[in-house]
Amino acid sequence: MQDFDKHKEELNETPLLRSLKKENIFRTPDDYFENLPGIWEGATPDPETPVLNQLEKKNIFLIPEGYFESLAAKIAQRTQKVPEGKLLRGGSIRSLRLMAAVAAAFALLIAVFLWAKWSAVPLSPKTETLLADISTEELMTGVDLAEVDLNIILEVVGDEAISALENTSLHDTHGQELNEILEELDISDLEGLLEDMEQ
Amino acid sequence: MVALEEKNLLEKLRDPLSRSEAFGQVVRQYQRVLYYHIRRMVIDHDDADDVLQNTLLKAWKNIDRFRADSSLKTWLYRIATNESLTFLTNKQKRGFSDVEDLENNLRHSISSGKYIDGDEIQKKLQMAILTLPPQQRLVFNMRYYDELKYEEIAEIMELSTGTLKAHYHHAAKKIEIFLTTD
Repeated sequence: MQDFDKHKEELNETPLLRSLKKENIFRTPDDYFENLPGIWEGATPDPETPVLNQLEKKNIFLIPEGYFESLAAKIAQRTQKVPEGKLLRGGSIRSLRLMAAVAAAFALLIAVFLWAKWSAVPLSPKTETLLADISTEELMTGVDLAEVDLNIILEVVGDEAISALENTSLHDTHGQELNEILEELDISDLEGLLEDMEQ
Repeated sequence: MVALEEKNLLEKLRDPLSRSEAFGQVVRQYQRVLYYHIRRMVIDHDDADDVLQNTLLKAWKNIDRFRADSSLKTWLYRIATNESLTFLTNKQKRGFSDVEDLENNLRHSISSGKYIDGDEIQKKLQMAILTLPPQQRLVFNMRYYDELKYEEIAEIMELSTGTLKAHYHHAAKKIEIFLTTD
């Protein structure tokens, strides 16, 4: 009570201040006080987890030397190659390598198909079997590999077809001419093929 | 101060002339937190590298759409979270019969994988975290290791803080039981 009176006396000495309405002009972010216990909770060990509370927070995950130092440059390089709106879709970077391999298999099949057609040489039964695993429509229009999951591509092509393709001795019959076609299908062509399929 | 720095950074990101350089700054600023956030989910370094690169490229691709309703950090975390979950789903579909099979693979990576270093109890803690459902794993990791506020995690996962607290509590209790049993 004494303090209250003293305060009143103090205010009498400053009439302007006395006339002002006491108002709080300081605002807090929304839900600040509601969330404050959350901050406190995190700092307080949960009595139900004593073993976890005692554990030191350690990072067991190592990284190769210089990984972070080179990452920004790697990303910069990739963002220059792939500007906004042209992000490669279809899974991880490593799966793209696999997809490039599958694209190579497709390109090879198409090359064989076209070469056989141009040279009017009937396709060998083995090649026909390979092509039968891919629908005509897919051969005509091309398959948007970037839109298709690798599993689906492998399902379409088929494991047997892939391994048959690997084992096909194309050189036996038309070695020289086929070599020339294959030489033209270098990695940049395949990258271009993949990019075109992206668009 | 942080808000001001982020505001400046966002202005640079919006300007096509300075965008590339500003994005480099974003990468340098957030690469470590994002990497470990992803790594704790996918475990293997090469997988984490793939997911991190995809995350950053996706951020680059969509930077124009970022409206600053949330912070850049929570936005990047959200992309990284989605990418990690998508990666795990695809990994399971491609090479594993079920979730348990994938979990075994991740456990194997912890016990004998490359770029792992920790004493037995730390590895056991990671094994315990692996037993949690993905959402609980995410919440636990972000709260326990990254020490994010519940409001931040709520923005990332689009869940209420109440739900997140419940997730964390259940996760911590399950981990405690795992750690105290052989």
